[in-house]
Amino acid sequence: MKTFLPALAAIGLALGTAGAADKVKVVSFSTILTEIAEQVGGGAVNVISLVGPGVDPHEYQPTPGDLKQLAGARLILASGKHIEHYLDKLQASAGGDAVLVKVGDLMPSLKMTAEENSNTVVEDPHWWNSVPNVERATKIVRDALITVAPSDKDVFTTNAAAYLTKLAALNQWIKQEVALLPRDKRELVTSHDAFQYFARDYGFKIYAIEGISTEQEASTKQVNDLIDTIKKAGVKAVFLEDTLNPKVSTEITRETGAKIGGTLYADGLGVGADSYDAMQRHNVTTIVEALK
Amino acid sequence: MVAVLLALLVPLRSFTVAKNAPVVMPAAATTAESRVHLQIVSTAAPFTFSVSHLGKVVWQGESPTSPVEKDVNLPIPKEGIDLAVDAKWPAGGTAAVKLSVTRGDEEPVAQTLWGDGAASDVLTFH
Repeated sequence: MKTFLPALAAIGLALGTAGAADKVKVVSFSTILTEIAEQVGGGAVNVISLVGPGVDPHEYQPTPGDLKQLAGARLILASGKHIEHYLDKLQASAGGDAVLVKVGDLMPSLKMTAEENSNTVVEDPHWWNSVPNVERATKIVRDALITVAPSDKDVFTTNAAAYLTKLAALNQWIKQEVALLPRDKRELVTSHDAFQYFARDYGFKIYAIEGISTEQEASTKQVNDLIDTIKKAGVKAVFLEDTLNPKVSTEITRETGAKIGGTLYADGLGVGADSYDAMQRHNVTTIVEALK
Repeated sequence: MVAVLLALLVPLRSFTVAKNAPVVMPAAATTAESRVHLQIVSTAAPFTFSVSHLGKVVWQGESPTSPVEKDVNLPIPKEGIDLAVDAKWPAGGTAAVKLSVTRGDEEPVAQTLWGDGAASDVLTFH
């Protein structure tokens, strides 16, 4: 037994099951990135999530308590594409030597018209609603973890490969499910414009009540125009979002005769969708059932 | 007196509450079916295959040789169609199937699917 215990400890080290103090501290500003960091980092990382499930990342503002959490972090993961307006200021005030990775900035963007100025083009920040983008994000997080903790490279590489296999299976499942809908019936009316990457990947057309941010409400004219469009197109269902007020969506269904198709998770994990896989399966099942 | 007031309430309410005319959704336009020629070329034979559209199998079979062909009726909207394709090669190994879709006199549109012993994917044709 005396010789067995050191052997067990050696195995533990080899598997990357470091003690809390030895773990790589990662701070995340996205529920999706939190999951990726946990899946890829495994026992070698300690992930602190500052934006929790069900929190609207467009509205989130860091608190003094959040700033304290950044102390000792070796890696800070942000969604990027300008969704975290506070990030540069926050990193400066937090100090430290943490590596900041704006994951979304390292992948191609869909361009959209700014809500406040139709002459301005902005990047769509909702990259996570595309499984291929989450696959890209997984590789970015893997490489970032290897940069800050190169001794755990094998652990991160193996875990990332396993997570990528799960994502590939999820993407395949989505394609099979969406294939049950004729391509000319793939029309989504959503509370805000968060599903353009999903639409690009799976052949949907989006009619959004609000723009790409949830901070600015739709004007009466925008809502009336949307009602006309929905009537003309014969769209079957309007979808709510877990973090937004359903008032306008409900009014639109009353005016158009479309039904409420269900509630979607647009901006990350939420109550009832505690993993990326669960979030996507919920969204796709809800959409397909409502539009079939 | 109370009964009279109650009797009055119902007609009065009908004047004060807005009545929404029932909204009639426009009937969803259905795309007419058209004759479509399907061809599957496999790099290995024998092989089994199935082609599904909207969850229904439109063509399946087992063939000792390649290619195989069939005419089917499918609705193809301007947005295109998704066809779910499954193929299996009992001999195993890496192989591929190419599905070609030809509508009327148009040029064929083809997509290829690779697999190791089996392959399965949703292919989009515009």
